[in-house]
Amino acid sequence: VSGDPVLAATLASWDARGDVLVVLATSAALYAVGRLRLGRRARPGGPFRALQMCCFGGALLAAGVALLSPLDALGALLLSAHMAQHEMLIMVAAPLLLLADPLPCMLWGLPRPARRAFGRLLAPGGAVRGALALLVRLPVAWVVSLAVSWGWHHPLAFEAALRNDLVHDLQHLSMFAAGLLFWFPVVCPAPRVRAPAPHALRIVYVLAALLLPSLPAMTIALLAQAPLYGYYTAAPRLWGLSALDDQRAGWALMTLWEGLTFLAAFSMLFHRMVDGEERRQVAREAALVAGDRP
Amino acid sequence: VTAAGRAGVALLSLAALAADPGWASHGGRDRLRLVPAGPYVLSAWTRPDPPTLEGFSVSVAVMRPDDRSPVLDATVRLVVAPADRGEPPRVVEAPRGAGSNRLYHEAQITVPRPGPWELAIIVEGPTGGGATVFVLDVEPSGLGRWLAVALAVVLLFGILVGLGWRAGRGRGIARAGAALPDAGAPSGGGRA
Repeated sequence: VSGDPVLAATLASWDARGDVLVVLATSAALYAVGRLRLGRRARPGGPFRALQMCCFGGALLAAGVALLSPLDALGALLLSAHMAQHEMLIMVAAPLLLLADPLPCMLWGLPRPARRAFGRLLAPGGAVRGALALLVRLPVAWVVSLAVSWGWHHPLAFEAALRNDLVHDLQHLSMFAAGLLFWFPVVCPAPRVRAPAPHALRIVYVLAALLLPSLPAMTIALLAQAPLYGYYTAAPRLWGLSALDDQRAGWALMTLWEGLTFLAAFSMLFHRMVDGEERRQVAREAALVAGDRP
Repeated sequence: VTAAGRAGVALLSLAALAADPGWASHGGRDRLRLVPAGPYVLSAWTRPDPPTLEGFSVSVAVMRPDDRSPVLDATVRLVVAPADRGEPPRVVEAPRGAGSNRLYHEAQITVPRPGPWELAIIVEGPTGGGATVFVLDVEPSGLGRWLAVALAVVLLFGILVGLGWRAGRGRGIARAGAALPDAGAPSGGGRA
């Protein structure tokens, strides 16, 4: 690093944003307090697994890296870094947060009146629960989440986010929300507002997200002859990377990152589907054996 | 939710939003794009957009003209003057790394009155020096940001008051139900 002053300056570009730090610290505190409270009530070896805690910590870490680390500053100079920042939010932080299933813990981290009030909001028959149940239907979640994340890649929207910090924050918030929405029906965490879709349908959902948007992305990445985002043409070029090469690298990175994440999700869902089918088969055979006994 | 709790949450939110002047330190409105200045080329951005009397930041990237790699050992000064020359110019140092992006030279600037202001960027580096100028319109007040903060706080208060009202209403209904002589017995009627 000391031999490359540009790299050294880049790696020193941390941004201790007060708003992000407060949100992350508050979330961690709520989760920790709630987990302690629920842990006292749960039986030993109860429902809270260490893996969920790791997922929650990983989600906060990924959000912190995306928004506070040099990746954020680098995103103003390189499209590829900006794409990596978005992938950290959509493909790492969002699914890890859902895998942690944090709602019960975070609700129990609240004071009792607030916890009850939030609980009532999510109670059956409430408007919030109804809206959520509609949003997390597989086709709705697929269309809305991909429309939001791809809509931001239109040059007008993308450059508006680069030029105005408020729009940029809105871009990150909405992309993270789109990530949560996309992964919700795959992971099915609390609140369980509708019955989980069959594994086979969830596999189709993930494969459709893998195949359909990736094709135009790769086409743009490979065939574009000029930078799509004029903003980056005025920025300094780092390590000899031209704006066009950076653009190709950014789109390729996005496609590869999302492809690998979707493949990992596909593998997990397929494993669960086969596992469930095997258990059902064993149960059927056990029932047959029991039926043959006199 | 107690009044103290609501006030605490609101103050925390306000502090979080206000702790970061100019929102995030990312990007900005481009004022110069690859403009030659002596042996270098410069790009410059300002934040927030539009600049206001509350202050704004100017980020300057100094680059080599051949490969546009960043020049890190240059010194940058800004000369700020009203476009009508009504006041003497003021010189502001823009050291590299003053903002969160350590590749840029950055300065925070406040001006005393709105209107067009001229910003001259003077750069000096190992291979020489140069200068370039741009004009920007400074607006009277930056209500946008504080309006957003105020809206966020009002929204938060609204949500908390609404939740508190619902909770109080729920308790009231429960108390009223408990006070009935046949509370707990199946009524067969509608909701209270």
